[in-house]
Amino acid sequence: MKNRVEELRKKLGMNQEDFAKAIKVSRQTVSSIETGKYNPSLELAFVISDFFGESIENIFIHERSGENEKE
Amino acid sequence: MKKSNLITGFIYLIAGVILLLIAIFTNTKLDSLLCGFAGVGIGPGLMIIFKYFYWNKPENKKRYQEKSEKEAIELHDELNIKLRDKSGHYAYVYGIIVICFSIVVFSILGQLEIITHSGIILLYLGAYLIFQLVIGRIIYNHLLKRYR
Repeated sequence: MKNRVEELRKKLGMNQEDFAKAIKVSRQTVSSIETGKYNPSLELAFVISDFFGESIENIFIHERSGENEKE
Repeated sequence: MKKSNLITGFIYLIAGVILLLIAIFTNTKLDSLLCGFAGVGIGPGLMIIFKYFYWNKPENKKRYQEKSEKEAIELHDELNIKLRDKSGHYAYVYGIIVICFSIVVFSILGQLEIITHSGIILLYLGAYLIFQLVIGRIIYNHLLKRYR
C-alpha cells in the first residue's frame, strides 16, 4: 500500500531510527512500511496517524477496487 | 540489571558445580552426561554473573538502558512477531515432512537389516509425529476460542 510516511517523516527532519523509536517499532519495520512492502496493523496505523497529526486516509493510500463502495 | 538475574546466575553456577562434583566423585555410566549438564550450568551461570556486574557499573548504565529499550522494541515489534510466527509455521510443516521421510528411511534400513532396533526408533518417530499433529490441532482450537 502506498503511503506518505517517508514524506511526513522527512518534513519533521527525522531519520528512520528516531521515527522508529518514537512509535516504538524497529527501524526495519519503518523501512518496510515506507517502501510499501509491509502494511502496518490498524493499531500501528493509528499510532502513526496520531504522531503526524493527520488522518489515516491522508497517510495510507488505499487503491480501492470499487466493488464494495456505495454509489 | 535486576538482582533476580544475579540470583539466577548463582543458581545455575551452584547447580553446575554440584553436578560436576557428583560426576567427579561417583563412578556411574551417567558421568559424561553429568559433566555436560555441569557445563550447561557453570558456563551460562558465570556469563550471567559477569553480565550483572558489567552492566551495573555506573559508566555502563546508560548503554544498558538503551540496549534494554532496543531489545524491548525488537521483541514487541509487529513485523518481527509476524515473521517469527510465519517462520514457526514453516518450521512446523518442514518438521512434519522430515519426520515422515525419516520414518520411511528407518523402515527401509530396518527391513534391510542395515541397522538394528529400528523398531524402537520407528516407535519414537511415530509417536513424535502424532504428538506434533495433535498438539498443533489442540493449540489451534485453543487460540480459536478467543475469537468466538
